Amino acid sequence: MDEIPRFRMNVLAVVCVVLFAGLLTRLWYLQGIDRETFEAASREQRIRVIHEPAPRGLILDRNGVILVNNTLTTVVGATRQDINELKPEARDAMFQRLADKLTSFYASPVKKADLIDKVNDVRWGPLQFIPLVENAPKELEIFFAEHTEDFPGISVRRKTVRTYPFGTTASNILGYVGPINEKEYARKAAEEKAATVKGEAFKHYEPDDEIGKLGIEASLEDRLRGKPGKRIVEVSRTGEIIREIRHEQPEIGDDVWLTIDINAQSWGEWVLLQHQQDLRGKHDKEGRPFRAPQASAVVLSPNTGEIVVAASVPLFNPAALVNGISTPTWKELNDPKNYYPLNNYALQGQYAPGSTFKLVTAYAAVEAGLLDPPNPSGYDDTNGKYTLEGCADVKCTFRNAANAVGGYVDLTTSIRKSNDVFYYWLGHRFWAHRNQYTETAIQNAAKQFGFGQKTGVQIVEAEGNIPTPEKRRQAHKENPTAFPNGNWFTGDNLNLAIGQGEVLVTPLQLTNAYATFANGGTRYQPQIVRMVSRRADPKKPPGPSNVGTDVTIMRPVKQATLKFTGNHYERMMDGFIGVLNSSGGTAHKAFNNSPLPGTWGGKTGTAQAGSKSKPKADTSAFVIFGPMGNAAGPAYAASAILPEAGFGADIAAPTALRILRPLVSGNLPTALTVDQKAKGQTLPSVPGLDVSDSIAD
Amino acid sequence: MFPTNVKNFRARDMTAAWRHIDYLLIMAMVVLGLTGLALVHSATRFFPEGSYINRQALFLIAGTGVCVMFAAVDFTVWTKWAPWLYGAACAMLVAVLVLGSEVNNTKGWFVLGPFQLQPAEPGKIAVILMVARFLGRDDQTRGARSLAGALLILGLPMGLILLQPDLGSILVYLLIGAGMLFAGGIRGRYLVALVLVAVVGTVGILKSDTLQQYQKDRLTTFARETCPVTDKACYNVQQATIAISSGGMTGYGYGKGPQTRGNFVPAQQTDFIFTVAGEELGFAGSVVILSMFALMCWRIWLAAMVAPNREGQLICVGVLCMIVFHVFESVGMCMGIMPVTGIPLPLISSGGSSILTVFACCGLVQSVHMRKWS
Repeated sequence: MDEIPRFRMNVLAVVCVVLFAGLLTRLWYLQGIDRETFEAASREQRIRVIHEPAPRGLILDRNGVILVNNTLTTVVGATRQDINELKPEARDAMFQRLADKLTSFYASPVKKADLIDKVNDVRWGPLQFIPLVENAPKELEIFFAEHTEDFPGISVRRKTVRTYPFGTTASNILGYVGPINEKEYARKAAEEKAATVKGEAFKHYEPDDEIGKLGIEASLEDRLRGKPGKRIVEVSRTGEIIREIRHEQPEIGDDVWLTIDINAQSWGEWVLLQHQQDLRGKHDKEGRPFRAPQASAVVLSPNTGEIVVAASVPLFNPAALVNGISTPTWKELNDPKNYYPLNNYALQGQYAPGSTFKLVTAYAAVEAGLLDPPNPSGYDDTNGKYTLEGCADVKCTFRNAANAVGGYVDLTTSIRKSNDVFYYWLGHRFWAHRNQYTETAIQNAAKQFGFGQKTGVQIVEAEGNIPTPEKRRQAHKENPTAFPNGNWFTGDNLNLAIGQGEVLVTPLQLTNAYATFANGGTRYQPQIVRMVSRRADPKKPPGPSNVGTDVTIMRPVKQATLKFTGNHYERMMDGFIGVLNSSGGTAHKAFNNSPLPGTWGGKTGTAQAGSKSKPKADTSAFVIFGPMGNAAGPAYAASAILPEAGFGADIAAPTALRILRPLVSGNLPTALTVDQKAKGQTLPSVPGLDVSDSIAD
Repeated sequence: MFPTNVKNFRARDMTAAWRHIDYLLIMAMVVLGLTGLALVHSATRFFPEGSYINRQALFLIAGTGVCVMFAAVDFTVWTKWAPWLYGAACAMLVAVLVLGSEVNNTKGWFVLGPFQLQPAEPGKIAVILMVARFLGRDDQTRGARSLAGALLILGLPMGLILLQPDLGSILVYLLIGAGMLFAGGIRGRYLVALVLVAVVGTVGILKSDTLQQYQKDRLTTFARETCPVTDKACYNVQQATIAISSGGMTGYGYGKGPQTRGNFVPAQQTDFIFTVAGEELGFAGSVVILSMFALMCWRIWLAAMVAPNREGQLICVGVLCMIVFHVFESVGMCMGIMPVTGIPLPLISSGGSSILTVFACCGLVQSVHMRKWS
């Protein structure tokens, strides 16, 4: 071999060595140095999490009667992965066939474009089951099972849906569930992220998952929601599942036991509805119509704060809202003509309490020593009027209702007869001696009874309003146009003393204030949830024999303790008992017509609601508690408030008494199920309200 | 020192061809062939059509036969027949343009029932033999005329392949030609001129519209962080580097590579088979494979050095260039340091044409090595 090729052969060898060295260097760089970055990329693209929906927990009443249940329904859905494997024309044709097929089974036509939109919703993972139509009939399920090759990616599954065995009963306590909206979904996703960072468990949400929208369903969402199952799978490039890495079974949510007695609740609603009907179409002596747009009643246990009844009418049908609310339904629910049935007025309604507020003023007076020597213990009401001396205000003379003349009125009589002049006197003295008693002596007492603040019940409620001089100054400062007057006058204190003016209370607050008085001065937090429990065996219905490890039992929570000096408590109690039992009591007639066993105390209230330009009938309020004298303490405090309905003694008193009576005597009619209602069954009718005459309030 | 016993002398005839079989080359081929069989199985066992292991084994057996055939016959006989083989190869390259099937935008395949034949592969043998015959003649001037002749021999099949068009194969022919011209002793200034023309031509082609965008993408794609959805070459390289890198030092273990199992790397049983080795066998396994290729290359280079004549030497150089380029391009593209051109990894990638060609070429090298004393 000559020299040139030999040299060139050596050059060739060197080139080969360099090339191999290059490969080895790159290999070392990839596998030795940069491995972790690429390994993470590998994991990210092949690991997928598929979520499986979990059934929600049930809602039961205090005795274990199921108020909200789950039933199985059939859903037709799609998996995007399988559909995307089709060629565009084939995919289009498949959607057309699907739309035609579904349309033939449903009343309203199913549009192809809607189906495509749903399948392409990027919030769903490619392997996720995307629900297209619910409540699929059996025939459709069989059809898809037999025609899998014609409908690739389309499958039929079962899922649980909420059912409400008692229909509208307690609907504005229970609330309803619906598909999660984008705002809620974003919030839950953020919460999940935060929980993951902290290493806490979180019940994951998928788009279109159901979420509690109102009532208990919303406020106990975190407990009621089941823990979705999780399938962690490894997928191929084309998205097929190669193997399952882990499978966590879905877990049913916790069951919520309410303090509500469904029989008492349904009876309460029934009485309210009946009386609402009695009132409508009638009017008071001044011609103001009794519209009774809403009516509500509360029954709670003064010893624990447990709410047994929180009845509010009008009601709605939660079953109609389960799969999302249709536009007509939404319009109906928000039409002012229907008085917003989604609200529970027992907790969210805010009304002027009228004379029922005298409990607060009386307590403020005895606490301040206003009726203790050397002060007079009563006021001589000689003409049914209370006139402010040297007054330059718009209104200087304040009158009793119906201009009644009370004579000498002490604490007990003032309550029994609901004498306004006595309370004007107290209100005047509080304001006149505000340097001694502070500007807000009455307001402070109201606060102790729980007014003007949320009670803390586990469901949406309103705050009410207790006006103060400070609030008024603030409102005027912030918006002088809407609140031209920033000063607090003596007259305001007089109005406040009898629960008029700007005072607003919720029926729950009012009832709990009287419960506080009835039990001797301990204010408990009202509770509507008695227990949250996880079932030991999720397949069996909840009950005492099927309680798992995770149980939360609500204990009574003391919020305040009120002290009464001397014998003032007994004197006030005599007054409240007298309201019902003595001949001069404002609710004597009503109680006589519909008595309860044992000794009961109560108070009527009639609050002016409208204005001169917009006349409205009065708000009718009544509170009752008892039976007194038992060693165990009073069993119930109850109230009824009916706006635009007339005098408290005429309307609210008989309403509350009729609601309470079967509860006290233990012969509550059983609540009617949806089926029974559909067959036309009703609860026993109640006597009509006598709205023809009136008792001075 | 004349032998006294004729019988013994004959038994000790050191020039006998069979005495000079290169067993190291055979060992490297066996190791690579069996590794390839295992990797092809791992890459294809989840394919809907089933594992390719049986056909791969069939090709290896057939390849062994072809190898034996090419080794058994004296390489001078092969060069003698080279014009016929060359003619047949060119005829097939013409025929494939008319009768062939299009695969991946390239009309380079005859489909024969379950098998596909890629005439560009056996064409390499014919071109190596033809160039070796032409440049290996004793009367070669190694000047312009020799260069022109060799370029003509190379140009005809390359032109035909350009019509398919199969850029990867053209590059292989180019490198085979370059190596053989270089080792064939063509004068330096001609070679420099040739390199200049090649550089200018390459730049010109890339700037012009001669190539389709996807072809340019392939040639210019190296590893990138993110790929546009339409850039399949980029995706391919991305997935390949992920697979190789996540294998680490020892790999996920045979049959356990998640990228391989999930079929994330397109063409993982053919051009991108090295990703399977990288992911499942790790750095250790990859180094063994590359070492076997290095061993092969060394033995082929050695065969060239001991070749009895220039024809034999040039055959070995042609085969060496072919294999080195195949390995460097195929492995390099999997690791993102070479453009994506679609070239199989010799003896390992699934596919009959490639395997039979490499076996035939190694048979030729063996034939040269065996007859080093002739």
